[in-house]
This record gives sequence, structure tokens and C-alpha cells, in this order.
Amino acid sequence: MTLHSFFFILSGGFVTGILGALLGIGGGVFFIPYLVLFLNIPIHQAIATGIVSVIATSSAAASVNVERKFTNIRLGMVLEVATTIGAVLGGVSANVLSGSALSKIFGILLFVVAFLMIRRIRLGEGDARSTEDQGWLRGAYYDPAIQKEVKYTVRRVPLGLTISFLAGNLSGLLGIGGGVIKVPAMNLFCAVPMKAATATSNFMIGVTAVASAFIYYAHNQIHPVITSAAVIGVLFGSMVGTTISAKVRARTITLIFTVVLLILAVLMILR
Amino acid sequence: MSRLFNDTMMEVLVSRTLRIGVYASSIFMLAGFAVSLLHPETLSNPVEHPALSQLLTLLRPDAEFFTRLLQPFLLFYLGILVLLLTPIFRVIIAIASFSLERDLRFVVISIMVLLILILSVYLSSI
Repeated sequence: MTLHSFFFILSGGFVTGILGALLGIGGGVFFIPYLVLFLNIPIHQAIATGIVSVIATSSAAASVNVERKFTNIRLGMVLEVATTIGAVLGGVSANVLSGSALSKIFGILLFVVAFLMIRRIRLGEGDARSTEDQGWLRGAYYDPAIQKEVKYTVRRVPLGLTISFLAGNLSGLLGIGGGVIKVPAMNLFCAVPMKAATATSNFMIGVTAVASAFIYYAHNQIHPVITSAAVIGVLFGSMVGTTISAKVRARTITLIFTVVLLILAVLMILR
Repeated sequence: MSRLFNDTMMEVLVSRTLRIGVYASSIFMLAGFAVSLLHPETLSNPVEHPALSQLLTLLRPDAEFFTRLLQPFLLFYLGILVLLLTPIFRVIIAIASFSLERDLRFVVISIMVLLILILSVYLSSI
């Protein structure tokens, strides 16, 4: 490990951090292939790096979202029961699977993410109707965009738990945050408004990632230098990305990077 | 719901915990980065990967604490350790907050999450 590679990892983390914030997905789907395909880092180490990086970005973003009351902490805690179990199993499986198998699974995941992004471009960001009746899991926040308080009741909690389990499993297995499936699911199936779904999904990512991080640590996959360079880069990148994302039209960028994702998907599968 | 403690106070505590964790961890990592800029050769001499049980002793404020802070590898490990502990602290704060709110259902749910995290640490250390 040289200072040279430290800079390459840091700048890669910075760029993918910006991208992640601009596209509204975690940077991991770009960062992990970058580490594997361009820097030749073994995929287990790359995934472990992704896991520790998302703890940093999730915690940083959550500290803001929680204060603004977008995050539904109760809903987050309920779904974390499922994401953490999923993540532990994912982490254990990843450390049993071979590098080439993991690389192929990652490639398939990239195809799915690209598909979800295309769908989002075509359909736009949907939003659930907010309902105000009684339920054991409710939420409310003030939405500055419409200058109104939004109240909602969480529906279909068992389905939410099932999808959270899968998202946690993906997180532990492949090192991504899993927001890309949790957010649409919470919005469409559980009737959680988009702002709350995004904030709550992000809130859960830190705890979910920790559930598999120790397993990677024990298998000696968390490289101190790679991980630190990545965390610093991704943190700064996502800070910059969040600042500029309000000013950039997301549609064109999303389209361009969907193509990039498809290319990365093929490269990861062929590897 | 108790008047002494409410959701807004929990949100402030959770938010601060997360912020402090991210800041502390980045400070350790940036310090490690700074030291390795001054002494690039240290990056080529990795320290042995500390076992999970040894990792916590890195934070012990003993006589060697400050000499550890001069080694980039240990600074990186400290940064990673603080980052891994941050979400765990966040769960513990949730348990404490729900207890103060007398919201038993969520005390139980949060304890379940903590137990799963403890289980993952246990699985990793055997």
C-alpha cells in the first residue's frame, strides 16, 4: 500500500460520493466496481470497504434528517430487526462464497439497479397518499416544499419487514446500502411518503452495515488504509454532491450513469 | 407518554451521537492520513491486523495512548472502530429514550436490534 493508491481510493470515493448524492442512490454501486475493476482490490475487501463507507455516509446524512424530523425512528427500529438479521446472514454467506461468484452476483445487482433507475426516469418519483387513520406505527413531519405537515400511517408492516430482510441481506453480501429497493418498497407498499421513506431507509443503513461489518473484520477483509481513504473520500464527496444536487437536473445524469451501470454490470459478470 | 422526555429530545440525542461519531472517526482517519504524508514509509509497514478483542484496547487511555496516535495504521483502526461503534451507540440511546418515554413496545424492539448486533460481534469473535 502506497500513498499513491491512497490517493486513488480517496479520489474514487470522492467522485462516487458525489454521484451517489446526485443520483439518490448510495455510491457503493459505482465505488465497489471501481475498486475491483480498476484498482484490482479483491472483491471481499472492496465489499468490506463499501460496508464501512456506508456507515459513515448514512450516519452523516441521518444526523441531519433526524433533526429535521423526516426520519421515522420507530419505523426504522422495527425494520432494522429484519435488516440486521439479513445482513448477518449476508455477511456470513459472502465470506463463504468465492470472489468470482460474488463478482457475478454483484453484476446481476447492477442490472437490477439500472432497471430501477430507468423505471424512475420513465415514471418519475411517485408518492403515496398520506392517510391519517389510527395504526400502531405512524409518522408526521413538516414538508417545507408544500408548507404543510404530512401525517401518515405505515401499512403492510410484515411486507416491509420481508423487503427489509432482503435489503439487509444484499447489504451484508455486497456492501451496498440497499436503499435502492427499500425506498420504493416503503413508498409503494407501506404508504410511507417519499421524504420519510428516503430518510428512514438511510437511517437504517448504518445499523444494518454494522451487523455484517464485524464478520468482515474477523475475516481480515477490512483493510485499514483502503477503508480510511474510502471513508474520507466518500464523506466529502457526498457532502459536495448534496450541496450541488439541488442545482442540477437529475434526468440527464441519471440516464448517462444508467448506461455506465450497465457497462459495469457486464464487466463484473465477465470477471 | 412521559412529560420528562419526548421524541424531540430523543431526536436531538440520536442526531448528536451520529454527528460526533462521524466527526471523531474522520478526525482519526485524517490524522492518520496526515502522519502518513509526513512519513510515507509507514504505509508500507503494516501493523498486524488486531483481533476484534484487541481492537477495543486501542481506545484505552493508558500511557501508550499518545504514542499510538503517531502510527497511521492505528489511527486508521481507531477511526474504523469509532465508526463501527457509532450505530451501536445510536441503538443504545434509542433503548434509553424509549424507556424514559415508557414506550415498552419499542424498548423491546430496540433491545432485539441490539441483541442481533451483539450476536454478530459474538459470531465474529469465535
